[in-house]
Amino acid sequence: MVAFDPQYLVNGVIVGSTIALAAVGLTMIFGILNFINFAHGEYLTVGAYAAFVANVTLGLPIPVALLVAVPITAGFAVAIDRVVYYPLRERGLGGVGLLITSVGLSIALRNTIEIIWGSKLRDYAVPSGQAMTIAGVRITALQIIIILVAVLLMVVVHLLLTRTILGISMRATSSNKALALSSGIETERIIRWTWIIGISLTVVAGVLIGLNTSIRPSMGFRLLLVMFAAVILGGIGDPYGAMLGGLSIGIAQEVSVAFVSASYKPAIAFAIMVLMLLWRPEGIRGENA
Amino acid sequence: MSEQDPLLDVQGLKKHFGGVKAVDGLDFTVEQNSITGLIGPNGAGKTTSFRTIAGFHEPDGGTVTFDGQDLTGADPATVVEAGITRTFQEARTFPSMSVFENLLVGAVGNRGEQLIPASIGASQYSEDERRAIERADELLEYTGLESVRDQQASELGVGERKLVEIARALMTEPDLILLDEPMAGLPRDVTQDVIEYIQRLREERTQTFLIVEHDMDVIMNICDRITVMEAGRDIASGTPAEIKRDEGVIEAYLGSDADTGGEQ
Repeated sequence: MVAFDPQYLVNGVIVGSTIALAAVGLTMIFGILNFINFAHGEYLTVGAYAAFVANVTLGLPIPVALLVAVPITAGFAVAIDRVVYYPLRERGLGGVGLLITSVGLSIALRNTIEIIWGSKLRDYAVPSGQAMTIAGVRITALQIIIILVAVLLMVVVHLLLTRTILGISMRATSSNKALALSSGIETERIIRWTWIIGISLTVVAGVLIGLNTSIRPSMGFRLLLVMFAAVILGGIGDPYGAMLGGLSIGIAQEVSVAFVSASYKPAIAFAIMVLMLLWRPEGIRGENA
Repeated sequence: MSEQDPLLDVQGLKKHFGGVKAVDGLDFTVEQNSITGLIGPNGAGKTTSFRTIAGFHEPDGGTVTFDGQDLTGADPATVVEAGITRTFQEARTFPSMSVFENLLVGAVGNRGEQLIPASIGASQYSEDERRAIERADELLEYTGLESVRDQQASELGVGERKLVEIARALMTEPDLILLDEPMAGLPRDVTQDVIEYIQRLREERTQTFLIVEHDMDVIMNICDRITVMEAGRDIASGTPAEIKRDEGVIEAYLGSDADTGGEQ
């Protein structure tokens, strides 16, 4: 084998930063609602297709399409919460019951998308552009934008969580629901905002992934395992951990291509997840989540 | 509301769990600016009463009236909004948040519907947030916690965490604070600090307290009035001196283990 090619690392950062965004959404929803949303991947897919309709069917430029897709999909997630999860929560259904419900929701959404748009790969109407070579690494302008958007959103999430009362209330609710309730926090309002913020990040991740590769009805579902791995790696419910976890998993997957066949990528994520659960189930950041 | 009306008026409160009548017809009142104690043997229903008043349980009967407002069966956020807040037995804080952030959580209930401005522009605090920050800093100074303002709550000792918890409760601008065994697990010297703190809040800030506590010395020393519970109902109410002489109370306490451990 020749010297390590930094190309794999850069590919890993591109993939990892998009996984990280979606994983932050997943982990926030877990932290506040206390259930594993199996349909999280489908929200990513719904967002990617909403942007596809705006971009290809309606002919809007992709940044505008993204800005259209985010509120539509976030609104969709809030509506699903009202119609499906809220009544179940009120009846006291626990995490397992909600998890099973989300499995059903995941299948229903995925098949609905497939019925409407078919199962074949679709692309956004965006030229992928000439790759340039920087320090021996090939990268397109679009990929640089993908990384920048992901990093920018992570900073926004950080500021939201630490500098706003909404963010502090979200962390408080995630940390101790009873104490948050007795501080006067209306949990249902926090739940609504968590869906909006978590799903918005996930939609951006979906569109960025679609820009980097293609979109298809199973894209979100295929990413679910990777997102779980990122969330577990970072410590369940910890947004900063999920950022770190997503980036690590993305890099590990892409760098593994240098050593094993690319078809083993999901196995790499799965192996990391299992090892992490055995070694440090509380996540890389430890107990301060 | 007239001068004589109690701040909190609980009448015929009931809370049953299956066949267990945890609270079964409790009557008691808390006067304005008083420190009122709720005591009783293990399993008398004190903590369940607290939880029911604070909106964590739906009562099976009776009424809770606070400052003239009916709070029977209200949810926790409504109860806090009305002016009642509670603390927990084990000095609960948000461990991964700073002391300052712990206090800010208490400000949430007061800020109405303006969550959107909060999420736009990191340094552009809304008016509500600015007030919450000022209030938090003022309370940190008042409680002598300003030196640990930016430390994570998990790094503090149990006494400081108890003060943080009470300060967070104060951030909700309550008229009544429910203290659930505030001295549980505290070392002796810290207990004295917390007692002085509660008394200062009553004197200087006209705060009203309702306390469940097992430590009889503390209760007799700090309370203006005491209600004694047994088997889910009140068996006596009065001043500490009256309670000490009450035959029924003495019997209730001698008939069971009065000062062992906490109730679930």
